[in-house]
Amino acid sequence: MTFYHPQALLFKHKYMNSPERQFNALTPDPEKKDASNAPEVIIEKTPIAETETDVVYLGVTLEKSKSGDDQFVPKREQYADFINDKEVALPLQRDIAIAFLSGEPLLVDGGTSLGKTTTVRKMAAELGWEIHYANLNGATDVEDLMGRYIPNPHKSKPEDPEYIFADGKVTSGLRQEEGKTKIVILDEFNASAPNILIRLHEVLDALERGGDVILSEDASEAVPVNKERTKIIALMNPPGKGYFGREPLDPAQLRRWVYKKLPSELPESTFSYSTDALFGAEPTSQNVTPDMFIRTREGSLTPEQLPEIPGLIEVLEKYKEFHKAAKELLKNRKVAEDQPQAFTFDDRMEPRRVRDFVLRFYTGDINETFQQALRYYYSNKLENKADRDMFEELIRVVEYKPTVVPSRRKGIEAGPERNTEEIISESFEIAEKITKKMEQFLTEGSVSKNSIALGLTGVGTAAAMEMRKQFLTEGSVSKNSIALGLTGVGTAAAMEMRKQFLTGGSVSKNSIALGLTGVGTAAAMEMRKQFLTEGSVPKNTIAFSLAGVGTAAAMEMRKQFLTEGSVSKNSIVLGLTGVGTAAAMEMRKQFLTDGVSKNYIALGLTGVGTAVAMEMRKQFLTDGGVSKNSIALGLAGVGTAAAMEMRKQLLTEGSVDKNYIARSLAGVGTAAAMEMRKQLLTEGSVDKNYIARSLAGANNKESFEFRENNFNSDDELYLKSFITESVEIDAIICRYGFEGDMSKT
Amino acid sequence: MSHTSNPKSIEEFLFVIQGGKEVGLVIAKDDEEFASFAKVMEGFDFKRSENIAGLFKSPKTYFVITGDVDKDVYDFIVQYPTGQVEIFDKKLMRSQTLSPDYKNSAIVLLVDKDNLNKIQEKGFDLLSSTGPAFQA
Repeated sequence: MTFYHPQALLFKHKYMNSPERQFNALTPDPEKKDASNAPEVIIEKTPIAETETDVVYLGVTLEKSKSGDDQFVPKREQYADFINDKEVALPLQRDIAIAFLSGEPLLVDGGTSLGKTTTVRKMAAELGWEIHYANLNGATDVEDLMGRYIPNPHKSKPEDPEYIFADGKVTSGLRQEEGKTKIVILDEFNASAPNILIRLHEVLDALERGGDVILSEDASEAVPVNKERTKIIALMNPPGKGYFGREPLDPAQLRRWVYKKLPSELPESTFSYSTDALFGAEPTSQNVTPDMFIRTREGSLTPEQLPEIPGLIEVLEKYKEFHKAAKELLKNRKVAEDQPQAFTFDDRMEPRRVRDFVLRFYTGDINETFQQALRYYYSNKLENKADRDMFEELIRVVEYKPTVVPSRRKGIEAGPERNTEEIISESFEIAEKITKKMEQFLTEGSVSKNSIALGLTGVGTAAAMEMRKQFLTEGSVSKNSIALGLTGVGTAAAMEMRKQFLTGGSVSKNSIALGLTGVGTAAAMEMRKQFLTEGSVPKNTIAFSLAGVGTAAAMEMRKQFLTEGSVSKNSIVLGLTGVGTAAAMEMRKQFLTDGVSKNYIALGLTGVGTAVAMEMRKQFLTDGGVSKNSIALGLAGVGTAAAMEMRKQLLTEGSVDKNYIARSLAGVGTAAAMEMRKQLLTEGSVDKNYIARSLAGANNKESFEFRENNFNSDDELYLKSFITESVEIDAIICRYGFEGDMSKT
Repeated sequence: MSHTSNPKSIEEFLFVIQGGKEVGLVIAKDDEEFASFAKVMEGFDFKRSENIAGLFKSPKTYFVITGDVDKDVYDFIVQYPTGQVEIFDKKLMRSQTLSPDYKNSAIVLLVDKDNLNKIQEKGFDLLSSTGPAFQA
C-alpha cells in the first residue's frame, strides 16, 4: 500500500527548511518536540550502562571480551574525557553496537571532526575488544592488508620452511582466538585503490557466509572467518566537500555495507554542548529521551517464530510499499539530493537486514521494532533533516493496526443495561468533553497540532470539525493526519471534508480510506466502492477500513474479496475487528476451519465482548496454538465481567506480558478496569505509557478521575492519555463510533 | 583539524602544544626558516625522530616531513588523536600498538611549504589531520 505517495511528500519536502543537521535516525523526529513545545522527557536511565560482563549502549547489549589485557585493546584511560552528546556520539555508539551485535559490516560516512575512529576505539576499550586498524588512503599493496609470505624468522632446522605466511593488518583481525573479539577498522575507505576494495569485498562476502578467506594466490593459505568474533567497520570522509582524493564509491559496492550517514561537520548544538562539557559546565554524558533507546531481548527469535508475531503480515505489506516509495524517492533524487555519495535501497539486502533486526530486537511491539529497523537501515543513510522527516512520515505508517470497531457498544461493558438514547447521550457528552480538552491543549500549545488532530479521532462534534478546518486553513497539520483523525466520524460534514481532500488531490487516498474505519454509512460504502473501481487504494486497506462495520453491505464486500481471492484472509479477519454479529462470528469460524492463524482471529476479536466471542477466546486458551499476548490484545475495548476475569487469569498465570494487559484495557472505562490500571501502576511492572494511552479511549468520568489521581496534569503521561495510537484509536471508535453518525443525536 | 594559531613566536607555539591531543604542525617557508625552526626545537628539548616508533621515545619529539612522506607517517598522524596508534612493520609484517601519553608529551611535524603542498596534492591532507599549526 502506498500510504504517502512520494509526490505528495515532495510538496512538504520542498517547503521545508533543510538544515544540515539530522542524523539520529533511530530517534523519531527529534525536532518535532521543540516545534510542538512538548516537554522533553528526560530520563534517569544511563545511556551507557556497564556491568562486569556487558556494556549496554542505549539498550543494545554487547558482551565484554574475557581475554584480559592485550596490546590491541585500547586503554580506557585514554577516553576519560570522551563526551557522550546526544546528537552524534550516543546515537553513533548505539548504531555501531547494533551492527556489532548483528555482525553486519558498517560503513560510516561523516566529517573528520566527528571523532568516528575515536568512538570505535573508545567502545573497544570499554568492551576489551581488539582494534586492527588499516588506513586505506594511499595504501597500494594488498599484501600489507591481507598478508604475504616472508622469510621464516624462526628457521633453525633444515626441515623448517624457508618462508612462512604472515598476516596483514586485516587478516590479523580475522584470525579467531579464544576469548577475543576483534574490530577491523578500515579508515578512509573511499580513498582506497580499486584492487584493495575488491579484496576487502571478498572478506565481507566470506564473513557473511561464514566461510574462509583465501589469503594467497595459490590458495594455500586461508583463514576461517566468523562474524561473531570479527567486526568490520569502514569509515570515510564525504567525497568532495574539501576532502582530497575522495571519489564517490560505486553505489553497487555499498550494498554489502550497512551505510550510515553522519553530518559533514559537528552540529552547532553538539559543538556547544561538548565544549561546555569539556569545561565542566555540563556533564560528560548528556541526558537522552526514552525513544533513543532500543529494547533488546534475551537471545534471538528463530525465523520459525516470526509468523507468530501479531500483525506481522500487515506490517510486511506496508513495508513493501515503504521500500518501493523509498526507492522511488531516491531514484528521482527527491531525497539525498545533495549527498555526493550515491547509494541504493537494495531489494535483497534491505529486507534481509530488516528481518534479522526483528529477530534480534523484537520485544513484543512489532510496530516499534519494525520502525526502528527502518530508521536504522533506511533513514540512517540520509543526511538532511527534511529527507529524514519525509522518511519518518513513511515509516510511521508501517504499523500494525488491529482495527477494532464495535460501533455501538452493544453491551461490551459491564454495568446496568442502558437504552440507546442513554448511550448516545453519554457519548455525545464525552465527545464534547474531548473536544474541549483538545481546545485547551491548543490554547496552551502543550501538544502538537498533529497530535490534536489525531486526538480528535472519533469525535464528530461541530467544534471538532471547526478545529480541523482551522488546521487546514493554517496548513499547520498535514492533511493526511486530518484524514486519519476522521476515523470513526461519519457525519455529513466529515464526508464533505473527505470529498474535498479527494478533489484537492493532496491527500493520500490510503489515508482517506483508513480514516473511513468504523464508518458504515451508505456514503462511506460508496466511497470505498469508488476506490475499488479506480483501483486507487489496495483492497487490503479497504478490508481494514471495514473494521467496526457489521452492516450487510460491509459483509457483502468482505465476501466479494474472498470470492475474488484478492485480499488475504488474514486481512479480512483483522478487518472484522469490532464486529460481533452472528454473520461475522460465522466467518471467523470458517476461517478457523480454513487454517487462518488463531492469532489473527484473536486479534480480530478486539472490541467484541459477546458470549460467543468469549467462548471462542476460552477455546483458544484451552486448545493452545495461539499467543496469549494476542488474546490479551484482542480484549481491548471489552470491559465485561468475563473479559476482566480473563485478564485477571492471564495476569495470575504470568503467561502474558503485562504491557499487553495494559494495552488491552484501551477504551474500557469501568471501575474494575480502573482498579486494574491502578494495580499495574502500583506494581510498576508495566510501561506507564500504555496505561496512559489506554485511557484515551475511555474518556468517561472515571477516566478523568484516574488521570487527576495518578498523573500530574503537566506531565507527558497526562498528555498521552488523550492522544491516541493504533489500539487506542480502535478502542475510541468502540466508544464513539456509532458508525460515525453523530448526527443521529 | 589544523588550526593555524597565531602565537608570537615558535617558542610560544612549542609551549602551547604541550599536552595537546593532536600532532602539531610547523610550516617553514624556505630552507633557512626550516633550519631555524629545527634549531629552536632542539633548544626546547624536542628530539628529532627518524621513524614513527621513535616519536614515543621522548616526551618531546619532532619529525621532519619530506615530499615523499611514508604512508606510515600519515597513518600515525590520523591515529594519534584517537587514543591508540597501530604501527605496522611491512618487512616483519608485525603490528605494534602504542597509547599516546597526551598529558606529558608533545609531537611536532616540521615541513616546508613546498613539501606540504606536494603531500596535500597526493591526497594526504596533513592540514586537516594535524592539530595546532604554526608559520611565521
